[in-house]
Amino acid sequence: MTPQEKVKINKLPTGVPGLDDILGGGLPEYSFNILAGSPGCGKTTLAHQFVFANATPEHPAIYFTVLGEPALKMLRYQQQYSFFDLSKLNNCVRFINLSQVLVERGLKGILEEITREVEATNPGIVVVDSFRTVVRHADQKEMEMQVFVQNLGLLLTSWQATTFLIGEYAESEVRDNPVFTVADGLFWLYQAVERNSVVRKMQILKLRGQGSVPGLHTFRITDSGLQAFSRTLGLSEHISRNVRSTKVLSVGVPELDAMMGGGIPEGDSLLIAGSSGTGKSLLATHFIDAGLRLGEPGIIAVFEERPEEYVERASSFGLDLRTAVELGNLQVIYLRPLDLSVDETMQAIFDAIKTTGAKRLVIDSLAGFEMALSPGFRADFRESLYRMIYSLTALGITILSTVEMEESFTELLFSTYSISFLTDDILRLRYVEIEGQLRRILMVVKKRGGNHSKDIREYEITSRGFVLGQRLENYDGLITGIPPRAGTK
Amino acid sequence: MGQPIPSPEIRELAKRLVAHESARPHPSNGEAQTVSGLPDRLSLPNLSVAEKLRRPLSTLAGVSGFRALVSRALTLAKAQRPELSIVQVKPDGSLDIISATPGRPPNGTGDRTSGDRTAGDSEAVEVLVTELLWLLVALIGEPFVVILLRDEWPDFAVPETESRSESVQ
Repeated sequence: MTPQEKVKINKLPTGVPGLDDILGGGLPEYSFNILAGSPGCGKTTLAHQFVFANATPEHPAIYFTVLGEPALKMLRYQQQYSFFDLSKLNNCVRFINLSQVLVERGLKGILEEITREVEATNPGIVVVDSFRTVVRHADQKEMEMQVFVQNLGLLLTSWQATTFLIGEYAESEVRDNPVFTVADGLFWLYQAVERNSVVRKMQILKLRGQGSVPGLHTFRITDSGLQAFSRTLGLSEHISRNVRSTKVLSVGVPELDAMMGGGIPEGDSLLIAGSSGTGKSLLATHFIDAGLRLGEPGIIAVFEERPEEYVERASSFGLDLRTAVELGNLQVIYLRPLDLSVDETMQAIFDAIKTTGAKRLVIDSLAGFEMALSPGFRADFRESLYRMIYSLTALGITILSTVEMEESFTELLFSTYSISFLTDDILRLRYVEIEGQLRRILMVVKKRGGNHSKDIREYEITSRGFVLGQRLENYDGLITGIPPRAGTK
Repeated sequence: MGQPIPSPEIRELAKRLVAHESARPHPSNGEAQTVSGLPDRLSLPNLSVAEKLRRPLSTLAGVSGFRALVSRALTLAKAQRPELSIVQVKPDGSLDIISATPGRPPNGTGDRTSGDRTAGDSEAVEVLVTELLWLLVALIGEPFVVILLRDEWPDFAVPETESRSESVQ
């Protein structure tokens, strides 16, 4: 058999943004799937999204409800979602309640009723919600249950229906469960309360016929239904660091470019570390401004102040971000909900990149970013940051991140996150006390793949922005913050 | 907070629907109709509106779901029209008429002529249908109810969905 003769499995859109990427392109047509998880985690909503995304008058969906959430209440709540298309009711999507059938006629009756409806309607999609109630009915009759599931799977596959069986299952039930054995796809939704935040994640435990993205993916439920955030944001196929650009980008401060051997290599991740008021955000603004002047769109992700304030502050230094925002060349994204996941943040940034064609990204700041995350995600912050930086720089995006440092007068810290290994280049800004004045110094700590100046130079923040001064030659121990004059002890 | 009451539009819709059903020829008998196979002792006309809604709503919400709905509607309607006390909901959700004790007509129907009773019964059924429709609108929304009605009465002009403000007592 040649590859051309292999059966082609169509992939159906799930109707859940982000989920198709996780599934490897969509849900296999005619697949027999289990949608499992605890109550309230979004199973029914996900099924409805799939139903409304795919049901047509020619290939309608039948949504069987069994014991569980009353059908009228389910419809009452589900129609609040924007995907719920009332015009599809009855002609494309039919709801049928089987509670009475289950109570009076058991599994045999359920199978007969589903068979009757499927043969009469020829549906493209069948959902049984909640299937768990059907299973419970037969808990004591394992063989009967196995036969039922087997027959149901055969029936629906033969009738070319893509099927979702929805149920509340505990993770411990995965093993030795005939339902899970028969299923082509096994989708598990989780939700957990982490301190005051709810964290929702999904996992594709099984998907026959195509590769899905392994691991736990966060998802959110909004007025539009579920939105999933792939751990790779669907970027896997685009990521290749084999070919790196040789282009060097200006930071926006010519003297600093010179210190960095011409600027930042395109696709690098630059970290600017310094304590409050040292000018990290200003330097980041210069970086974006320099790109805009060359026609390179940019994105600024802010967590600690509103976009309007950010733009306004830039203008006070003579840096015009407003025009670029109005022209669509710059997006200032404000991400401050306190239960974000890194993947959601990445999605927002990635969407902005797609919209603007941005080549430069500022994350201001990592501390604010971490604070915006749900507590449950903070534990994974370092690993998530790695994924994010790796994915974006591989796309050729140059990232400038700021990180706030507590000033130490005994050592020079670069980051509280132990993430310096994630960055290609590091700039350190810090205060020093000199002759009764609090002054600022800058140094290039690291530049991957190139030489950089070893100078420690003073700088000032003026109405013209970041102005780099001279090397402070007459002091020793500048990095301690309290430098004595050279030659004195 | 007051109990929401059916809007005038829903009342009008129910009235038209009952009239529409009354005008239809019924196979069992003339004016008085049989519900769920009951003999023609049934004097309340047009319970067939509720009966016709039973099929799609039992499919949608289950037999017990529909039974709960129609029981609630009947309770609300009985509070307004005591003559409906002769109506009861059967386990399958269909409506039944309790036989009156000979010589002692059901409450609210004793002193009236046959003509009065027919008119009064018709209005009582309108109240019942109004409450049932209003309950459905409150639970699943007007657009969905309109779809259901259009499916069951393709020859009946169900008004386009439009926002109908709730009245509050």
